[in-house]
Formats: sequence, structure tokens, C-alpha cells
Amino acid sequence: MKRILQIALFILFSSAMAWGQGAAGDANLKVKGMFVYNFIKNIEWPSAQKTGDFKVTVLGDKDLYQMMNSNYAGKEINGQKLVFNYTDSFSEIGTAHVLYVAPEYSSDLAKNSSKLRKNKTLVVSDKGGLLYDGSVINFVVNNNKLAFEISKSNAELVPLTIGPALLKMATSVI
Amino acid sequence: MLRLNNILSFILILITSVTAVGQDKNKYCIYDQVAVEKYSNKELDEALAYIDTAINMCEDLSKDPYVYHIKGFICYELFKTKDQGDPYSPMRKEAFEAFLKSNELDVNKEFTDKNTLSLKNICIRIQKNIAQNLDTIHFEEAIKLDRIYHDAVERSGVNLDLKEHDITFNNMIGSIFVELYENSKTGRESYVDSAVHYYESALKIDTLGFDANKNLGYLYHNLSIDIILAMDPEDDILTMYENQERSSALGLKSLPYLKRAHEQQPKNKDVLYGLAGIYFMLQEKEKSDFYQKLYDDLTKEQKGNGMAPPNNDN
Repeated sequence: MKRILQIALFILFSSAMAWGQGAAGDANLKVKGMFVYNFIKNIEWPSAQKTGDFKVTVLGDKDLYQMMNSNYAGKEINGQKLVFNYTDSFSEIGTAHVLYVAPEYSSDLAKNSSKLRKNKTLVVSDKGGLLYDGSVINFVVNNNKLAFEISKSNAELVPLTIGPALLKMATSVI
Repeated sequence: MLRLNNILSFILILITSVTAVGQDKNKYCIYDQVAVEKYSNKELDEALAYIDTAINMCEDLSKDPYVYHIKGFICYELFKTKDQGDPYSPMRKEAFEAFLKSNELDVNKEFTDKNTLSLKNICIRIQKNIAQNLDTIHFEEAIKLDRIYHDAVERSGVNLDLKEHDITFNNMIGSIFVELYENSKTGRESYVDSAVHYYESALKIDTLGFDANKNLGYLYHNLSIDIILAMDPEDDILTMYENQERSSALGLKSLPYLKRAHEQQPKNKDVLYGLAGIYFMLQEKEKSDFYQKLYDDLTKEQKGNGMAPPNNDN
């Protein structure tokens, strides 16, 4: 009899699986992408950057690029159409409104920051300490949640105007 | 003289009547034998009628454990054949009560072993009925039958482990509610509450139980991820924060259960996979990688060893 219940139990539980790292990864990517989308919505670029397509380049994270491209490509923000590009080299970035730099690619950020600033690019980085290498927004982990910190001074150098909602939600503003 | 004759006639009639009644009573007192004969010939309805009449009409038999023992078998056969094992068959109930009564009267323990074995078989049949109803459509029936099973085991005192049954049953019902949650669009919260309730009921019996810990850990883990995956990509930043907060709270809730399951079965790949996932979700990359590595190593090890040979446990 115990066997009958055990068989039923096996059939039942064999379908109950955890999502695992894969789905957790998808969820984390989604959150990251949503953050970047919200950065775009809550930051004002200089007027010269307010025409044409709104370019977002992802450096070194193909999954994030694919996720953002499928969720947001073609959407319009203040009349500008969102366009996404992926690259794995700083030299191929060109002009972009937003550049996301994956952690493994951030070692060259400091030496490229003045060029990026000149191109009026909002740099979003993903590794501790990068606000000091020219990044404007840096992803951090706060209480088991993805959060972000802001360098207001780096933003002013571009110049970019960061909306109050972002300043309020940032874990720190320097 | 005539008066005397009348009195004598009255006495004669009285004696004759009393003797006749006595003879009738004796007639009922052999009905148990008729019942056994009918039972042997598979005339079960007839057998039941005779045994019931014997119990009702013969005072001696109404206190005889043998008669109830026989009645138990007749009713059990009727339950199996005529009622085709219907879990709510009155014959099952009657059989149960008859075996119980027989045990109660059986001071010399002549029939107790067989009665108890029969009572156990009745309980096992109820358990089988429960197992047959363990799916997303019939689970309420299973819950109803589980109460009958409990009552039967407790009243009969048969050697069946209720705790072990309860752990398995609660885990299964909990998983049915998880399946209902995953398959439905509305009323989902109540399914989650019910799943948690049943898993926690299993944990109340055995706090370290592997299945309940794994299941509850999985549930919170998957709910944590569901919140994020269900978010509208265009949600504003405040909504995102709130959802992240809810998601992370559920992720943290899943951890102690998955860890406990891991302690019980360190080589269980599902648990390792779950731990890798939830730490990843909680932004604890190092810990996530640690469990992912254990999972990957174990996968390699299992592939290297080929499939496990069949055992002879069954």
C-alpha cells in the first residue's frame, strides 16, 4: 500500500521543479533591463541629443541586449525611437545615448570615459567603485535586491539632468 | 367442573404457546449456520439477512463474537462485489463495525487476529481510494476520504502509521494546490495559501522531512521568480522596487527550507538547482555559483558512473 502512495508521490513530484539559476537569471535580466528603461525615462539629455533614434548600446552582455531589444526596441520616448546595439569592444561603441558596461568589460571604462562624456553618453556600469571611473549610474546589490547608485557630478559633466524619482530611489548619490 | 375444565384448557394453551415461542427462538439461534452456508454459496444478500436476524432475534448470538466475525466477512464481500469497492458503500461501514464489535466481545481472543487483519484491510482499501483521488480534479474527495481513513485507523487501533501517512498525504495535497496555482489564472492566492498550509502540516509532524522542506522551499522560490517574470516591462521604478521587495522576501523565505532539504539529502540535484537559483535571485552570486558547481559536479559524476543498477528492494 505504501508503494501505491509512493508511486503517486513520484509522479506528482516529478513535475514540481524549481526554476533554478536559468529562470532566476531571466528574472534578474528583466529587472536590470527595466532599470535601464526607467533611467532613460527619468533622465534628460541635452537638446542636441533629442532628435533621431535613441541609441542604447550594451557592451559585453548579450543576454541583456537580447532581453532589452525584445522588450523595448521600437518603443518611443519623447518622440525618439529606441534602438539597441550589442558590442564586445569599446572601440565599436560609436555614439550612443546610453552605454551599459558589463562587469567583465569595465576595466577599460576609465580610459574611455572622457570620449563617452563628449558623446553625451549615459554610462551605466555594473561593478563596485565604477562611479569613480566615469560611470553615471552603477548597479549595486542592496538587501538582496538589485539597486543603483548615482554620480550626480559625473552626470553634470555630460551634462545630463537626473530626475527626482531616480535620485530618491538611488542607494547613494555622490 | 366446567369451570375446572376451562382453567385446565387455559393452562394447556398457555404452555403450548410458550413452547412454540421457545421453539421459534431456537430456530433463530441456528440462523448463523444458515448464514455461513449462504456465504459459502456466494448468496451474500441472503447470508446477510440470516446473520442480521440471528443477531436481532437470538439473544445468545447477539453477544457472540463469532456471529459478528461472520457478519464482517459477509458485508466485506458485499462491499467488494455488489458495491464494487465504492468508498462510501454502507457495506464497508457495516463490515468495519461488525469486525470491531466482534473484537469487543471476543474475550477469549479467538477471532481477534483475523478481525484485526480484516480491519487493517479495510483501512488499506480506504488509503487506496485516497491515492486514486490524488489529482487536481478529485483532490477534495481525497481530503474527505482522508478523514474517514483517520477515523477508521484510530477506532480500529490497527497497526498503520498515521504519522507517515499524514506526511505523505499533506505533501501530495500541497503539491496538487501548487499545480492548481500554476495552471490557473484566477484565485491563485488561495491555492498558494492551501499549498503552504498542507506543506506546513507535514512539517509540523516532521520538521526535518525532506519532501516538505523541498516542496515549501521550491514554492517560495518559484513565487519569488514569478513576481519578477510577471512584471510589466514598462512598470515605473517605484512599482519595480515594490515587486523586487516582495520577490526578495519570498526568496529569503525559501532559503531555510531548501537548506534543510539540502542537509537531509546533500546530493539531491533538484535541491542544489533550487539553491543555486534562489541565491542568484537574491543577488548572492558567489553562493549561487557554489551550489551550481555542486550541481554540475554531481551531474558529471552521475554521467561518468552510468545508470544506477536496479535494486532488489521491491
